Amino acid sequence: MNAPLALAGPAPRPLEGMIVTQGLRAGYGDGPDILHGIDLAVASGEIVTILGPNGCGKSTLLKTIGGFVVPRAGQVLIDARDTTSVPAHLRVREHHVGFVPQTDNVFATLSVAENILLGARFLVASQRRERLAQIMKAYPSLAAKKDRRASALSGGERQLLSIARALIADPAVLLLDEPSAGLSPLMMDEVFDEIVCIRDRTGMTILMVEQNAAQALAISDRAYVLALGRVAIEQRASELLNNPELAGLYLGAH
Amino acid sequence: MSEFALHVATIAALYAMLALSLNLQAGFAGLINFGQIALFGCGTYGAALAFSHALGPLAGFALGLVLVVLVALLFARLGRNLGADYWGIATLSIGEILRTIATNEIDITGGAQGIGGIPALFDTGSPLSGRLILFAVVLAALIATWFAFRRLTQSKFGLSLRLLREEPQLAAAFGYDLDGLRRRIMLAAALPAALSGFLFAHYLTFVGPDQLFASETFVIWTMVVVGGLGSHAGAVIGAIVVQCLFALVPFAKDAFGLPSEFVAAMRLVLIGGGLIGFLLLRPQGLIPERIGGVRG
Amino acid sequence: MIPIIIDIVLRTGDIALAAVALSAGYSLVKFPNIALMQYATVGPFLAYLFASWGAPLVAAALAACIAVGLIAVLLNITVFDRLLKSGSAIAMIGSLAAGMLFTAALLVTAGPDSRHFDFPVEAPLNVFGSPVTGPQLLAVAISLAAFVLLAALLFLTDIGRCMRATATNPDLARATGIDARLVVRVIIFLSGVLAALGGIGIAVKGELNILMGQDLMLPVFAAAILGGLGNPMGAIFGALVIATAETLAATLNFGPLIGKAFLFIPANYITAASFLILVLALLFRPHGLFVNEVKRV
Ligand SMILES: Nc1ncnc2c1ncn2[C@@H]1O[C@H](COP(=O)(O)OP(=O)(O)OP(=O)(O)O)[C@@H](O)[C@H]1O
Ligand SMILES: [Mg+2]
Repeated sequence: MNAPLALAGPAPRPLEGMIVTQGLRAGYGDGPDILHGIDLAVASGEIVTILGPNGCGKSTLLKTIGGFVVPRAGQVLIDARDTTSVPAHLRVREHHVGFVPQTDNVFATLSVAENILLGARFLVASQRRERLAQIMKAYPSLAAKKDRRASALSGGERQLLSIARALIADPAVLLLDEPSAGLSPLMMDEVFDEIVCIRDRTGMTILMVEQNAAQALAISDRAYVLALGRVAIEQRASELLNNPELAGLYLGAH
Repeated sequence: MSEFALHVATIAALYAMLALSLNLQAGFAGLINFGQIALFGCGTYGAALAFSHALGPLAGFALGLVLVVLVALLFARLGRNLGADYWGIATLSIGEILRTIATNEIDITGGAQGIGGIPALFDTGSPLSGRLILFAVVLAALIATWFAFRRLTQSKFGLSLRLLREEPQLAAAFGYDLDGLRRRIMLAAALPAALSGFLFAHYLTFVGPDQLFASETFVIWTMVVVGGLGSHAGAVIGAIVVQCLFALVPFAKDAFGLPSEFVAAMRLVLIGGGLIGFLLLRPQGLIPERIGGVRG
Repeated sequence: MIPIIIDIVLRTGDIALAAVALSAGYSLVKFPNIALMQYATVGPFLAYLFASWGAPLVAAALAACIAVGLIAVLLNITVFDRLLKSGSAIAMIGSLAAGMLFTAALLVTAGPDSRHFDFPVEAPLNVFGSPVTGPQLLAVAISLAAFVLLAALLFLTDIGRCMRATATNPDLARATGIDARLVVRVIIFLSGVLAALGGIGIAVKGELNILMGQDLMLPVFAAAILGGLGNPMGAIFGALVIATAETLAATLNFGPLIGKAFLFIPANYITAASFLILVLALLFRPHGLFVNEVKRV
């Protein structure tokens, strides 16, 4: 049976949700395309995980949604507004996007407290103090080191700091690139619990890239699996682990 | 008039050697040398010091070589743990230190007055024919340098030079001896620079610290950038173009009756404007670098 | 002892502002901007021009600093940002060339002669038994005020925190909602202002001429590199080191060291002291006295 040509198929129905990408093509510099037309939608209040083998473009997708990589074609919509050409810093400020990058995720020469406060720049002063107190309470290990330079933190502590920095502003949309990388199992559980907690409390929309598939899927509503810059599977999280294709994609992609 | 043309041609050829030398460092190996004029100064002072100690030109040339090898090795050593921009600053300061020494060791170098009366290399009775022979020698030296450098950069050595320029980390990972490479490139580049200085001293018959101002290095830089970084022909063409423009400035001053500040300002505009203009609008220069071109 | 300290303080003031400017600019736009030395020359000339139109000195100086700051931003947008794409060394050569064009412009408009600001000649004040002139005090006051303001800006304000954040991690700064481009422009503006102010400080207590910037260049680079390029507050310390070395080289009697009654370093070599420190710093501590980073290849 031949797969129908894309052009001959039914017109794709416009996706809806808090985060939507349509036909996203992207790459770096004048290099080749890394993403070959990604359609993705995350509903408001949903937790969605992106899985896929190393180098398949997960981070690139997240960076394109965050505005750090300019797409060559396609659109990024946040809360139904087209943000494709909005610079990254304005997505944070005006579209309430929080972003936790995979690497280089703290300001190394600034203190821990300064790192967190930078995330709260757009709150009014009273709110900022209140949120800072909340965050410090939620992350006692950071609070204990609040005047240390971030460069003096361990890898896992940096990860926490980066998450705290993104969370303090109460973003509507949170993009997490491997939030559990480098964390101890205990800490990892805490971070995942915290993610669910935030969602339940604030209705935040969360899109994360994860390598710890089992744990990530356990707290997610849905998941996308990328392979070579395309969406290979889109499925309910609870069903994905039983999907025989998943292992094949991870193993066969190289 | 023809004498003036001969003068411009001689100076242009001497500068072309300096430009070839700088281009080998900067254009091929990515070594941003801001102290190029110091290499030239080794040649001029070698000739001058030999003369003031009543030694012959051969001794002067040898002395110049010794000096230039020392300076080149110092430059290369400094390049070991410095990025390109830091190295530029380091070479600039060494150039300035050497100029300060030349200005202040009055007993040896004659201080700011310099050393005059250095005899012409070829005493044929008539000064003009002597200068013609010298020009022929300079031209021969220039062509020899050009061919030698071309052979050098077309060999495997040239390939490792480009690697040093483009991917120093990768080159180190491939097991290239970067220090040795840098040393050899500095020595190769220093030789014609000192030779140019030596011939310059005997041509002008006068050597002084004012010939070693950092601004002279930037003149050479303009020649290389205008001609095209990484192109031997470009370096030579750049030297000719810039020297010809310089030669025209006094005429323009007289023609328009401009004040004497104009000459200095115009030189600065030519150098600075040439550099910025080419870097912005035609970074590959008049004669772009040939990609590939390695014979193996 | 007191005169030596006064000399050190005065010389530190000469070097430090331009060094801070160089370092601050480098923290966000990663190339050593040689044109800054010409900003330190153009600043006092503009102030002199405005003052000759009848503006009070303070207003003239302020206007000159702002003008130079704007020139710096403009040059960055039109020239250096573009050159930087081909590497920091190319951008540095471009900044050198831009500096030459400034010198040429000054040569044609103002000429090669030295000038000085009109101050009523007053008897020097007595500071711990040593004479210090009013303009000298003014120059030191300018530098101190500038440092305090800069430190307050960097460490106490939101924009300062944004500057430091952008300097360490520009991408993350954007991910935190910081307009990195704006921050860069502000820093470049400030570096122009600081360099101009540094030049004005030198000019009020001495003279101004078109070679000022050129003379400043190597001591300023030495100070900025000693303090760690990109670390503006370190540059102040670097300037102090350079000034101390120069002053001691000029005043100390090295005779006893080699068993002679007197041995002074010839005055002409004093300027070379900072060059030498610069070379030594580059040889052994290329990232400044404070850092123990991995060496750059
Ligand atoms: N800054 C960059 N410049 C050029 N190419 C890049 C850049 N970042 C990533 N790439 C390339 O894009 C491709 C996808 O990278 P990406 O970081 O999106 O992968 P990933 O799925 O996040 O992998 P991982 O699981 O290892 O984090 C890779 O082939 C990589 O080489
Ligand atoms: Mg990734």
